[in-house]
Amino acid sequence: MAANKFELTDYQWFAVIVCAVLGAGITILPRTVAISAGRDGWLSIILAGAGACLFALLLWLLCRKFPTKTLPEISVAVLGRLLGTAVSVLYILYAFVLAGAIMRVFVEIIDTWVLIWTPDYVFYLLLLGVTVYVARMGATTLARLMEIITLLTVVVFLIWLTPLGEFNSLHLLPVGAEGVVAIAEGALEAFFSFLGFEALLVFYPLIANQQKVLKVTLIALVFITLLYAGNVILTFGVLGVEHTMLQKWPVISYLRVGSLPFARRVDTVVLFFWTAQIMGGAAVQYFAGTYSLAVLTGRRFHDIWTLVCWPAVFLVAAAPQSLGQVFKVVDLVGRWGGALVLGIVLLLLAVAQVRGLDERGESAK
Amino acid sequence: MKKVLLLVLCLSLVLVGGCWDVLVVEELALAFAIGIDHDVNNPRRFILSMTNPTFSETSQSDTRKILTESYSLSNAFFNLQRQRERILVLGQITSIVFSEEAARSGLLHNIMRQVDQQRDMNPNVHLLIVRGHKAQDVIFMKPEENARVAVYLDKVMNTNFTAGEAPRISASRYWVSYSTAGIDPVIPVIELTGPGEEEKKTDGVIITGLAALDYTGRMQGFLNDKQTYYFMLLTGQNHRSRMTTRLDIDGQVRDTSFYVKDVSLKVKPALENGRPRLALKMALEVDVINIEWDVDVEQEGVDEIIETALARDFQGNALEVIRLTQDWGTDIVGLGQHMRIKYPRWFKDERWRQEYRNAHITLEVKVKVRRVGTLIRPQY
Amino acid sequence: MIAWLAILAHLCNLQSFGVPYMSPLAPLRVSDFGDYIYRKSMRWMRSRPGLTAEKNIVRQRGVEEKRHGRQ
Repeated sequence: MAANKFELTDYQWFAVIVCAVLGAGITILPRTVAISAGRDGWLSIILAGAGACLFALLLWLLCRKFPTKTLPEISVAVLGRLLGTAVSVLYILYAFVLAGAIMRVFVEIIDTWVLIWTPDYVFYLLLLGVTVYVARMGATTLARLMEIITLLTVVVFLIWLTPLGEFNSLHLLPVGAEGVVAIAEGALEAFFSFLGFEALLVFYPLIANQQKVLKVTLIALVFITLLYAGNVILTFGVLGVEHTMLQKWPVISYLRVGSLPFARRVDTVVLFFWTAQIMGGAAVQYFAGTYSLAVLTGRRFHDIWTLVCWPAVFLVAAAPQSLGQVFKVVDLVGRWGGALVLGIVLLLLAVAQVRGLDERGESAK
Repeated sequence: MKKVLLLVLCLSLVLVGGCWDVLVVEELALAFAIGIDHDVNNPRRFILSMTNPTFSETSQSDTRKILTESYSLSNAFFNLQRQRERILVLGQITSIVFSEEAARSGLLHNIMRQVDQQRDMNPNVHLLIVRGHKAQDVIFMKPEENARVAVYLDKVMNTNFTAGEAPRISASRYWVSYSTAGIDPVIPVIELTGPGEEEKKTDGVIITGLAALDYTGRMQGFLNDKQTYYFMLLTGQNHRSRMTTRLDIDGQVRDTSFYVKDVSLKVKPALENGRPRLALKMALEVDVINIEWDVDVEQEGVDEIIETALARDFQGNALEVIRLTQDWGTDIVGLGQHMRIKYPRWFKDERWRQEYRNAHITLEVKVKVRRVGTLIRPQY
Repeated sequence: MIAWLAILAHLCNLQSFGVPYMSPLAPLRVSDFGDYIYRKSMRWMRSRPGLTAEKNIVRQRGVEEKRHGRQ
């Protein structure tokens, strides 16, 4: 066999990142950046994307030192058994919280715009059912599924362009008038939408071509940044910044302006296909969490962990009582979650550097 | 494991498929067009009229027309539902007709604000204001061209947009121009036509112009059909424009009709002593269909004379449209946006409402005539 | 949609003789697309599928017989 059964190809890794990151954040993005940065919201996104690329670089530096170890193994090796396990558990909790948050935001949209009367738990159970099923089957299956979902996303983005008849570029001018501080604030708010690629910490040993990982990751992040920035530009152009700031879900309002020959409501068509993306994002995070747990228990019992951990994600998704609380959770996860992972990575890097630990060096001995 | 999966899949097929919630078209009351009128007895209420096809062989008529009074839009729809044996569905509404009183008094904006929050209504509905009649008269008319009122209205608006006679104004465009600083909304105006007395006209509608609304969504002024052309040229909506005008050439007034092939408008904003000044430059490419001038059009200089006359005509009429909007205080052309782009610190939406009235606006027009008809002597 | 995803996930998991069921769509091998949705004519297929024929990729030329050809 050309490729080892358990390894991801380049395009598969690209697909995993794209599916993990592109998710619920995109629908609230125009409003969050408009509040901080006004018309220049799309510049904030580009800034946030650059930040994400730097973040990815840090991740890669850490992973490069330990080519066959996933995050729990790295942290145990670097920090010792007790502290290492604690750090891993923090990451696992973060992964579950992120999965829950993604699902909750999506279910809020569906509950508001599409299926108003269906009780929420039905959505959570259905999504979780598929997520658990996908995560059980392992990384390669996950990656193959993500590949197919990315192809689906291309179709979705074609449909995304239908409201362009109403585009007015005057809404986006003048560029840069809001000032650098406002744009930077907007970038911070936008960061929730970029979370997801830190799964590299867990997937690194599973990637076939580790020489090209950094390149693929950066290409994926640039691609995502362009998509997000393009989405904000389109929303501002069609709805105008003032009207965007009035909307709770600006992208849905933007999509409703479009029309297809066979569908009156473009937003429901897009949401239908977007379900796949959401499931992809949740599945990648859930897999990252449960695989880390399995690694902590000696690289065994992964299938049992996947069957057992879903209540955690369910709780996170069902916990917020109102839309205001959902947005608070999103804010929290975006700021503190990102900070947490950044902190973990920096800590591990620093300690590994200090202790002179490097797996690559060991094989040379 | 496989058996569990099979069981789960079958269960989900039955429980989640939603068979009991199916909406069959014959059981739906599909609202296609609604009309909004003032209630003369109670200023806080309004009257909603609706038409929808019945899709039933046993009903007496093809369409069902209803009136209901209410305080709010949702309330009106609930009232409507209480009268029907079918489930009311709003997603197919294609036109909303307002009476002129509703437009002038602020009821229009009140309703539009509520439409924005009705999740199943279509943001691409046509908005119309009717003069001289109530909105219910439009909804209850019997058009000659098409049995269904809503389909007729929808097609009138779409066809005229394609033919360059009216701009495409949808609900979302209204909301966007209302909210956006530096531009105000505009809505097409229709009147009922037909033989017979004023009260009895029910044959159809004619698009007579545009209503200019101010920043509160109240109608302030009316542009007639000729002025509508110039408005559309000023806002770059020159989709297949055909126009007629009367040109002053050689001491005589001559009827001219032409296609406008291309329009471009450049706006140069400036601030002089705190007073806004806008220099507009319009360039047009024109293809003359017919001109009432007995001259050999292939002669030297004829094109230039027509170009100059056209330029003067455009300049005069377009400036007149702009002056009218300045009098009304409605910046429907969107010149405020250009001021905002050039002077982001100076521009404030509240201030622009006053400043626009005093803005000094000049217009320079340049016309290029591609050809003058198909005859050498158009007035032979 | 969710059920479709579940079925798709199951398909992605299947392998036949070690070759993933959804190949060449996932993992993506564009060179193998000639056989996937619509079969190219045998004459135009210059290479064998990558996953099964690692070293022997290039097919021998001049081997296809005429259709219904009998000597």
